[in-house]
Amino acid sequence: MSKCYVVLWIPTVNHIPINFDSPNFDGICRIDINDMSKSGDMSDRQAPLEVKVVAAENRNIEISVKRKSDDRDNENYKHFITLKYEDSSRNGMVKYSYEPATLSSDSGFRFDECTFPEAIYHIIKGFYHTHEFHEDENDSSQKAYITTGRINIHEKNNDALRHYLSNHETTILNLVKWGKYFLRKAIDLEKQSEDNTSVTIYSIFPKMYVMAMGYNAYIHSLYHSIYNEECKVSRTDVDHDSENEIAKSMRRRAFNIENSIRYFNVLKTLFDSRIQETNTNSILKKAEENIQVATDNLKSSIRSSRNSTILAYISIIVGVVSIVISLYISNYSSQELNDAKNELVNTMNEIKASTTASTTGYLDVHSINKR
Amino acid sequence: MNEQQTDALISIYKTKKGYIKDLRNTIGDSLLSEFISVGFIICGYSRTDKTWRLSDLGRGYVEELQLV
Repeated sequence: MSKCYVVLWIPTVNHIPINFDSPNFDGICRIDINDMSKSGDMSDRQAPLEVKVVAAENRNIEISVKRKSDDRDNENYKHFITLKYEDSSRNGMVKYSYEPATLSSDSGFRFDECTFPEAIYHIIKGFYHTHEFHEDENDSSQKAYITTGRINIHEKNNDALRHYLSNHETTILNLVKWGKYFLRKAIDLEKQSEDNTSVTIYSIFPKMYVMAMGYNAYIHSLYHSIYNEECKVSRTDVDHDSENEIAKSMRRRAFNIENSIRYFNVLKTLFDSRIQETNTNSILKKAEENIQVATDNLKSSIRSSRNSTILAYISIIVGVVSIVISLYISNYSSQELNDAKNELVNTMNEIKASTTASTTGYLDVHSINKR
Repeated sequence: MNEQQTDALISIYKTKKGYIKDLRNTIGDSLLSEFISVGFIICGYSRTDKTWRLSDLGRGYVEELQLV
């Protein structure tokens, strides 16, 4: 089979060379890329497919696959393929060459003229790029540009550049489409909600919006690259009557890339005004209800405190009567009687003072109990 | 969002992971490509087949819209 070339695009914001000398994670990644793997299952379909990807000092990428066994030895890997570094550009393009290699079958893990595993592309991208605008696992599974022919990444309008601009157009249009569906459905849900005090937090739409903004920031390194002359809205050499279909499609692509982000900004504004407004109204309504409940509780507690005062008065009267009876039938000294009388008077005064305080919402039960 | 799109989302949400060729037969090439490009599903590989799994973004999309 023919030697293959792959051009990977490493998204970059700054127009500086990729830092091959300091890859993230020390340039090593070990991971099971089989989503259907079952521990202990040794079938080709469901055995873990643990790959080890290493960014070597010579800028090559070495890929090894762990032998199929229960051995948990981290170094039990067999070398599978080398991606030989060929070239790179300041707008994030990196070119490698490789000899085709297949692990087990033509539909499984392999590198050939049609297939470059998205999971491996994602790992290599992670060595030289930080996922700032989305979680690592929410990154779009990008298809790499592969060819068996010549590709010069410094050539104007080269095929790798066209490939990634096309990828970006597709991704951003799909994000807009699914973002629009989400917003419409969320607004419908809010209208249908019978509980107008419920607050729903929608996190997915903002995540999709930030993803789109992030992609838009990165694509500038290709879209405004000196190598991109054809994918431009400002092209004046193309009109409706032009027979140059490629040129027309490039201009359409440029328009879609630019206008999709404007449209997503409109969706975001709609989200902020409709959904956030609905949530704000719900919060205000709930606050009003809570204030009403608190007011009702306060009135109730004031009524309760009045009942307590009546009981206290009854208790004191009973106490006085008891003292009188005791005085009549016992030999208590006048001093002790006087002390008891003073205690009762103090208690009555405290209750009177508490009754006054309770009309402003406070009943000091503890100060009575201390006596 | 039409019924076909909703059914496809519910399908990947309930299935959570599988083989790409099976998913292509279930939801079609077009929707499969869209779900991959927006990041609702992530691709992997076994020794013999291309695999997929539902992402957090895909899961959240279905749950927040109360599609199931």
